[in-house]
Amino acid sequence: MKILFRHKRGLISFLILCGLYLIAIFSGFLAPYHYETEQRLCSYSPPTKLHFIDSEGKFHFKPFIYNYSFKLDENRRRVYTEDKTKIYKSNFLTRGDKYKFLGFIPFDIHLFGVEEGGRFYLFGSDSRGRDLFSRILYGGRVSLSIGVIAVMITFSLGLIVGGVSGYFGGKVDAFLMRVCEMIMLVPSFYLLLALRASFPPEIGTVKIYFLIVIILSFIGWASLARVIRGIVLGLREKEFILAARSIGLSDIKIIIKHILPNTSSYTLVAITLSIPGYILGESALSLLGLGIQDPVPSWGNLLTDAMAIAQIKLHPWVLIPGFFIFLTVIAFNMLGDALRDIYDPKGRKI
Amino acid sequence: MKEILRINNISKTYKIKGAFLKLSGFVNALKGIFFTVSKGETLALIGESGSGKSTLAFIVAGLISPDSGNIIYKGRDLHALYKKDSKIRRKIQIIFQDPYNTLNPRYKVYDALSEPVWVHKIVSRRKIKNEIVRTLEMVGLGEDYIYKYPHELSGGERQRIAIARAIILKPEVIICDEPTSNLDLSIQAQILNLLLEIKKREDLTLLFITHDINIASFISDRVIVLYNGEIVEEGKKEDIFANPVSSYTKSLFEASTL
Ligand SMILES: Nc1ncnc2c1ncn2[C@@H]1O[C@H](COP(=O)(O)OP(=O)(O)O)[C@@H](O)[C@H]1O
Ligand SMILES: [Mg+2]
Repeated sequence: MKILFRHKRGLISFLILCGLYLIAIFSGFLAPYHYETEQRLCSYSPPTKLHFIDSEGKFHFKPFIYNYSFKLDENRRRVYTEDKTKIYKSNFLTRGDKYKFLGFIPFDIHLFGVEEGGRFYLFGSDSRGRDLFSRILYGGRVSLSIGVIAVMITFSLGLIVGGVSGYFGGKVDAFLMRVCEMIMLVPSFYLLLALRASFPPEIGTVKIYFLIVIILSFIGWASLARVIRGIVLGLREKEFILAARSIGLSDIKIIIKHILPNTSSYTLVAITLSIPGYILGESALSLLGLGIQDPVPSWGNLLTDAMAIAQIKLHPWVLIPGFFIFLTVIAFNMLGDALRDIYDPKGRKI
Repeated sequence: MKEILRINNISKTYKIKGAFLKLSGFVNALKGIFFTVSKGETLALIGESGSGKSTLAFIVAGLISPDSGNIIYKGRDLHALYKKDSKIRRKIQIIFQDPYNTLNPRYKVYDALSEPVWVHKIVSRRKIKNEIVRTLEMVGLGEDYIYKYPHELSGGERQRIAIARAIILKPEVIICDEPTSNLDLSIQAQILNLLLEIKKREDLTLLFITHDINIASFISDRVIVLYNGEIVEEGKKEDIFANPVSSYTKSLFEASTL
């Protein structure tokens, strides 16, 4: 940890990730609207401008907004303009949509919002007039947590299988490794689709969430188990392992107390570097409509709107969720690289 | 003197695995070894690299099983005892060759020494620290070493910790598998003297493995010469150094500047 603070790229990516996770955790409070709140009259409204000076030239310390009204153009598309007849003041800690703070405390105070009647879209709105900004914040809950949970399952599986395989060797090893190879043989994206296809398409959000977690972990553990096995195979002959056996420590305790901790520098780097894969996996499934279902947002299904070029041209803000995926993936990769820089000189010694 | 260990017709063959796990050959590391170890003696096992010394040490320490033969400890089959009750392991301890791999890099000295104590319940939980400090003193290290990591220690200090880890169990036999061969000459002498001193104080039996006949003549009472997995010479130190029987032993003596 201490060394990370001296590693500039590592520190920056670490702070970015902390920020993203805090945003996801407090999304209910930070988002001005609930993710389901819709306003059909404001379909694909562009990002709302913040103003400080009103039409009479008076300066406001707190920014205010105008509502948008639309006319249809010759293609019957909505063209939004600001309706300057009434200003809506923004405010901190306003009352608004009900939500559950941290997932269980009923609450209705939001970090910021505008006066009653105003519609405020920081990042624009989607086809049903839902606030994209709020939906991105809520979507982070799914996208960011799914990677971490899946990675934890993958690594528990990979560590156990790799540890047992490498430590005991012989027939156990041969069997477990053939299983791993069978899983690794199938290209992971097809495996992902095939596994998803073997479950009914329409199931509850919570079930889908765990289904995706399980599918992603099932795909990931095999390659990890193989690497861990390799490391364990090398460690098994080390004298400190022999010493542990010669004092009569049981095999299980040796694996847990002496072998697995000595794979941890590798494991930590590998965990960090593999989380983006899980996040992208969830996004890909959700993008294809096989993952988290509307109205619950995830960064992947928010991008469904950006599948058509015309959409991107007319409503470029639908790409913003992609930026969050990009930022997260880059940050995890940078952090993983930084950890590798920090651990590698030591890692080789072990 | 009373016999403590009998090495009874021990053989060990390693399978060499080639590509695709195919068997590509065998190494006969030990070919039917017989000898006995008496209580309280220091028996030196001399042999060049690859002669099977470590294999024998690991078999006696119960780290690998022999293909045939057995080891009799005070009249009972040692490997059967190891299987039945791992508590017997405290009686026979081993010190390894490489000081840089003998300690878990993630364990502080305290952890390394407390592990054998709690596994064998040598003393109660409250007294563990006292016991560790006392043992560190015996190997010539101060209390301040307790919270050091292996990477903060020199090769000689690590080997002292390895000795402490062995003697904290109050064993009867210590197998030393070339414990000084990776150390500087000046440190070698310190470690050898320490081993002799501890042996005397704790009334230990030492099975001392080395490829260096100078060390063997310094430390041992009796000598066995191993060559290619077979015993070629066995006897009292004085007899063997005065007139070796086998031609291999003679060539060994000629090669070294005794
Ligand atoms: N795990 C193993 N697998 C295959 N061959 C081995 C293994 N361990 C030792 N050997 C071989 O057995 C022989 C004896 O080795 P060893 O007992 O380590 O000798 P020494 O300790 O006297 O140098 C050597 O030829 C070595 O290559
Ligand atoms: Mg050896």
